[in-house]
Amino acid sequence: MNMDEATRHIEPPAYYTRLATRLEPTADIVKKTLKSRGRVVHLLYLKSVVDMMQLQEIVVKPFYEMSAEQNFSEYIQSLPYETKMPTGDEEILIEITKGNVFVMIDKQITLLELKIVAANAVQEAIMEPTIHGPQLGLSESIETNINLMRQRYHKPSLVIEPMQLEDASNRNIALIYDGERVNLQLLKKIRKRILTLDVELVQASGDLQYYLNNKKYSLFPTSLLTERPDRILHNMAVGKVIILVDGSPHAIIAPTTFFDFMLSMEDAYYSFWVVSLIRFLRYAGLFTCIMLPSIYVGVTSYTPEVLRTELAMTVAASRIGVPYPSFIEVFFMLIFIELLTEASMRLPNSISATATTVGGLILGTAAVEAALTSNIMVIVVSLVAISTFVIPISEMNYAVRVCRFLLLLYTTVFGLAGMILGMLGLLLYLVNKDSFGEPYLRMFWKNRQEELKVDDS
Amino acid sequence: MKFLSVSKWFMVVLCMSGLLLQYGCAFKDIDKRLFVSAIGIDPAENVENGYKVTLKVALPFGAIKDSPKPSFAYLSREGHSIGEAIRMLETHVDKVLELGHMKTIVVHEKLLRDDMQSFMDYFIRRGDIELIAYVAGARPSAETILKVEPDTEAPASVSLINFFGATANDSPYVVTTYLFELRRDILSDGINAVVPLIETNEKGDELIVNNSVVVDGREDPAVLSTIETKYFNSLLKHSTGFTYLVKEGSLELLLQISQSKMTYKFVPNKGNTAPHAIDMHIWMKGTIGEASKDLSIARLDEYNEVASKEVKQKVVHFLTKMQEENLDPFGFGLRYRTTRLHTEDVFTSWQKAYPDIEFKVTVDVKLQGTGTIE
Amino acid sequence: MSRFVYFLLISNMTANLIAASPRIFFAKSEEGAIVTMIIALFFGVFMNWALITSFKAFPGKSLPQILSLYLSKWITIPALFILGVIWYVSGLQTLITYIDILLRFLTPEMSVYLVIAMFIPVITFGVIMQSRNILFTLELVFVLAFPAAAYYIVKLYFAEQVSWDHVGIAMTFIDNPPDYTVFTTAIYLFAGAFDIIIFNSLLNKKMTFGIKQALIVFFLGAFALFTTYFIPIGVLGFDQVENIMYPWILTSDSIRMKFGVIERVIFIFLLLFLAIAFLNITIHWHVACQLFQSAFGIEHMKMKLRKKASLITVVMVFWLIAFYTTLKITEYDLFFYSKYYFNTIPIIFIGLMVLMLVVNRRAKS
Repeated sequence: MNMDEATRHIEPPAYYTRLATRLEPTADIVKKTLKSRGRVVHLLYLKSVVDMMQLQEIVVKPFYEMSAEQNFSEYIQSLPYETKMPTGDEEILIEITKGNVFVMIDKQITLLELKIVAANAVQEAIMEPTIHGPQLGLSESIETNINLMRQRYHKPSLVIEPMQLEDASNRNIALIYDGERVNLQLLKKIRKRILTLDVELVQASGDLQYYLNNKKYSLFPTSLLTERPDRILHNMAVGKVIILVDGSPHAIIAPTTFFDFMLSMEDAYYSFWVVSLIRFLRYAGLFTCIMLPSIYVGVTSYTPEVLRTELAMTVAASRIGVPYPSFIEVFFMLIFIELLTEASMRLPNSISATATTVGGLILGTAAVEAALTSNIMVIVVSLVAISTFVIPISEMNYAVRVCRFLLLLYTTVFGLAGMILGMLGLLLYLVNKDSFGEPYLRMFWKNRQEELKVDDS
Repeated sequence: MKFLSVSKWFMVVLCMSGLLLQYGCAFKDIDKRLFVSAIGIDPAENVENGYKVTLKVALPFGAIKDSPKPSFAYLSREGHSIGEAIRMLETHVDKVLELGHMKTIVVHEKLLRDDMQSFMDYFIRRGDIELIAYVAGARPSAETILKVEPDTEAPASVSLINFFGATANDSPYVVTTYLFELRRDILSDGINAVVPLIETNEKGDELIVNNSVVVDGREDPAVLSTIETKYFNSLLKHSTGFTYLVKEGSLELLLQISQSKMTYKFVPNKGNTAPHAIDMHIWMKGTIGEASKDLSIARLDEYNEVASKEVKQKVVHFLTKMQEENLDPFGFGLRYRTTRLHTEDVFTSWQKAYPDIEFKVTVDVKLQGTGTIE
Repeated sequence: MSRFVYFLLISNMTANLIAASPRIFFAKSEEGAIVTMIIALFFGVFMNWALITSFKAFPGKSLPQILSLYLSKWITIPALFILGVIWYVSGLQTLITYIDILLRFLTPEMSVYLVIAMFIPVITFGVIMQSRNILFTLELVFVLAFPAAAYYIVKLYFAEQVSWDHVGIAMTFIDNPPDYTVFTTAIYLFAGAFDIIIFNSLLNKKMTFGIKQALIVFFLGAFALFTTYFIPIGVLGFDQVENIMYPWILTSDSIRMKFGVIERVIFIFLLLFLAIAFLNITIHWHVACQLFQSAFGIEHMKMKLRKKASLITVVMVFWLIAFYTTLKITEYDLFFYSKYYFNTIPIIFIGLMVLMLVVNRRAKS
């Protein structure tokens, strides 16, 4: 008996050693063997991701307080922290790196999830702030995020489907949907798309979204990235699928239509007329920021008859002395304003204000004074810049900014008629696009499910 | 789909790069254009049967707010036709002449005849000239009128435009005639076009528009007097805000009419299709603006009657004068044509009947008050 | 009837304003235009009834699919080919007219090649799109254009520039005997719904054409015909209206927006009708393209190959012919050939209905 004990003490089980050696070179590995009254428990974990206090409370302390070995192994198995045991060494190691504690009692092995996540604080919504409505967004931990979902959506049909990416980081991701409302065809499509992803490394929802898009040169986003739990629920309730990535404070919503990008969550919190006005402003802003530079070129250089006489005279007067044609002027000013936007976004808050002031106000005025640009142009460009930011989702914002340049090019070559045709072309492009099989842009008059049945081919 | 997108992009890039090289032909910046704001047409002095065309070109200023007055350039040239003259004028300036903002066509008084359609044709045929340009007659000549620069003219605007179209000046003495209206009325049987007549004062720093001209085939066009112009405007064009001076004995009333309405119908002859009379009914609503004596609200009905009688007399006078001249600015003939199914002789029978037609006018003036004082 | 059928109908009615139809009406304004239009109005409703009823038995099937089910190849292929040509020409007519209008009124200095080139990428992309997406585009353009169109129509009817006396004179010609060309031109306004010979494959719901639908078509048609004919007469005058090349352009140019940002309504009209013309060309050419595909049996090829094939057909054949005709044709020719084109419409209609009758009978037995 004593002899037996001694050998066991000296030599941990072969399996345990094998796992430990594979993790070996790292410094934060802990191999621990607890011994008391002839009972032995082997623990293997990474101390950087495991909550020591909990380990102490849940495993170590009871071990010394309990009398028999049998009791302790039953105790461990009854713990709520247990994770499902995967098959294969590799998978177990991945679980350990995620913060599980590998517990071996005799021949019985268990994985206990005692992870500690430093970044599980819920963050404030920065990208899509609203005045009313929830002020907090998601956190960087997937568990916290799932917890946030559950907290707001109490239905047994809420399904959380964990998946693991086959990339370098073995990131945890989860599909979340309402099992009663979701379109099964769509779910299958999304699952397949995720499982067949062939990428090196996924860092956050942002690049996962890009890879999901499946097209290299796609201008408009086909899935939506959000940090707002209310937006997530709003979309989940109409049968969409939410994809969460561990370590990213954003969720991906798929499929999306164009109108989803024009919706601010604020719309849900105001009265009808206020919302109508805000929506009108938003769409007006959308059209302004796409079309205004083109209108300027088309009108001033091709058909000045469109303007009223007084306005035409004013525009003509303001352009006196500007040495280059209008489209170069517009291109310059647009690129200038894009630079300004880009710069102020990358700078810390305190400096960005200075940058905008210097860039916008002083340079703008100086450029007009020096007759490098007309003052009407400065108005046009500022209007464009302002109205760009009316679009609530930043991905759409970027796409629109690119569109603007394409339309400007078309107008420069073909005039005002070219501008309208260019807009129609843009419309065609959007209508022809699809997001996970759903048409991207179309009118919805009736209930959505019914619509699709009526005229879907 | 892959193939499609690649080839699509390839095509777009190819087209774009090819066309960017070609863009030059229609691309002209706004500061490389000269905006012709008005055009004047006079009979030519040196060319037989030709025209003298004067262009009033508005010049943009660097800072509009700082410049006290607008500045204009004037270009003149004679030619056999208007198009020819304008083509030649294009060689007199360094920029493109842009006719898209040409808002006023000023025509010499003597040229206002039915055959003016032959030279007005140029304006209709050119696609870029607006059909809502105003047409006006000029006395003494179109060139002098164009060259008047009134003191009230603001920078970046043209007085000749503000007079018409009821955007700025809303006076009942100013008739507005659009280019398309002139064409329509000249080409239609049963109506005579009426155009305003622009005059200037002796010093040449004011424009005066309060007469009008009835366009007809005759050598010397009939000019409507100031009063007649006002009647024409108020009866046919429903213009408001005008005044009527009414005299009855020692009582002189100035009526401020705010609403007026005119309807008429033809009274047919028995057994004959042609009408023998026009039954005209005029309603007017307004207040008393000025009086030579003290007025009393209680006697408003009396004033109504006095006013009605006066207005009736003037209207009948105006109508009969037009009838005597065999002019039809009101378009009675046109209306007559709508009243029966078309046959060859509808209009000829009207032409026969018109000189002898009788005007039965009833006027209903309804004064609503005596102004702010009694 | 699905709402898309109404959209197709309306788009064709409006597109005709800029085509040759108003001129054909005005040319015959003293020779029975009004009576003919009234007859055509009833016949137009009948046409739509016949069309919808004949397709009732085949929800979710396009004409090529139906024909290949019940008729032999020897009838199907020529029939589809002829229909394809008719639809192609219809789009071509709109294209040529609109290019001419752009050159005349919006950008007179631009070269004709450039103006054609402007249409090529956008329309090509539209034509080879899925049928479903074309219907969605149609709807979206309608929604986007609706405010401008509504404003424009209200402006037309309430403008003081419209002289109703001239309209009255035009009405006095009501007692003249009808004219065949005016009749065919007027019924062409109702031909929009015939695009369902292709789009029917998307309309899975069974369509009915009852009193309600008949009334809607009737009033739409009556409004379209009335506006097309009488408003230009009111603005431009009855006498000599027949000499005007583009009556509707001049009509729009005669309406003034006193306080608008743009004073001249013509620009709203031109840009609005650019969208309408674009839709019209895209839809007609899409239908033509599909018909040709079925006629030449491209349909049975693989999806990828099919896309490629249709792209090549459209780009090569459609645009080459369009290029050639646009450069060669004069305004007079256009007017002249348009008349011939309109005159064949009733024959095509009768032919199509006979085919559908046979097919319906075979489907029943």
